Amino acid sequence: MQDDLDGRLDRLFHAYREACPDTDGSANFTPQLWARIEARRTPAPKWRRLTQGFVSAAAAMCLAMSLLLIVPITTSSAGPSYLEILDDEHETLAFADIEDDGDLNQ
Amino acid sequence: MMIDFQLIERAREGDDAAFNQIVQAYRRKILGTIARLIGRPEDVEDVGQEVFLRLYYSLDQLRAPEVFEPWLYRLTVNAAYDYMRKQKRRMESRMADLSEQHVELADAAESGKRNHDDRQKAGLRELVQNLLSNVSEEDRILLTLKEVEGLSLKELEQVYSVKENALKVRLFRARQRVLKAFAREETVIKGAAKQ
Repeated sequence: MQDDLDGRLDRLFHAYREACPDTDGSANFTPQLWARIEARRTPAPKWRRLTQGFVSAAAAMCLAMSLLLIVPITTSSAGPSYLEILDDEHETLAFADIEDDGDLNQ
Repeated sequence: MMIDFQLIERAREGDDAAFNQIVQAYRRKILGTIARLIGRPEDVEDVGQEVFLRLYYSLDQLRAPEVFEPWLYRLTVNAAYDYMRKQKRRMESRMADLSEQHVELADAAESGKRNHDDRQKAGLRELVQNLLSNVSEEDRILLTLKEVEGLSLKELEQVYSVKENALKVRLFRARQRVLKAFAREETVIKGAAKQ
């Protein structure tokens, strides 16, 4: 019974294949295919150009920002810092003390 | 292979004429397979164009020209699968919009347009599609490739990149479900014939 059903299903699948034969499709198949290929291809360079522009602008901005950050650091490092001034003053005072002590000893 | 490797290589390098030759060589076979996979003749060309479109844009991913045919079959399976899922959603929303009476009227009008031979073929297509609807879309495609398209397990293994044993199990289960549905369908047909 099962074998019989199996066989009938096989015949049904075979008949289905016959009912849906291979087809070449219409004459428009290839032109329409190329139109779809072109349609997908066209926006790509536009997007690529936009992306490239965005990347270049971002790179330029990064460069400008880093320059802005670097310049104040270098200018500030040219002059003495608050601690250096304090340190210098402390050294001057220390020398003054030594000189004063010398005078007292004499 | 229906074409030589050099043609595939040329198409991979961007030669549109070579790609056109590939389309001409495989078009008939692919359109036939799609027709049997989706069961709707009116949408076959659309899905077929999608297959070749995907082929055009994925040729550079092809590992070697030797695996071209399984690759093309895989693209066909994927496009058919995408179509079926879309179609299922579309059908559900369309059926929700129409009242039952409208659906019956639409069916009657549609069948009246067809001649006897076309009606028989359409009936056969409907029966098989109905039976195959008892399994998932994935299994339906797999079963169709094996039972209707006649692909061997070795070929299916290449298409799906899955071990032969796993495919065998899946095919067996799917076929059992379809067999059960077929037995039920036959009982209904016999019952109707007696009345």
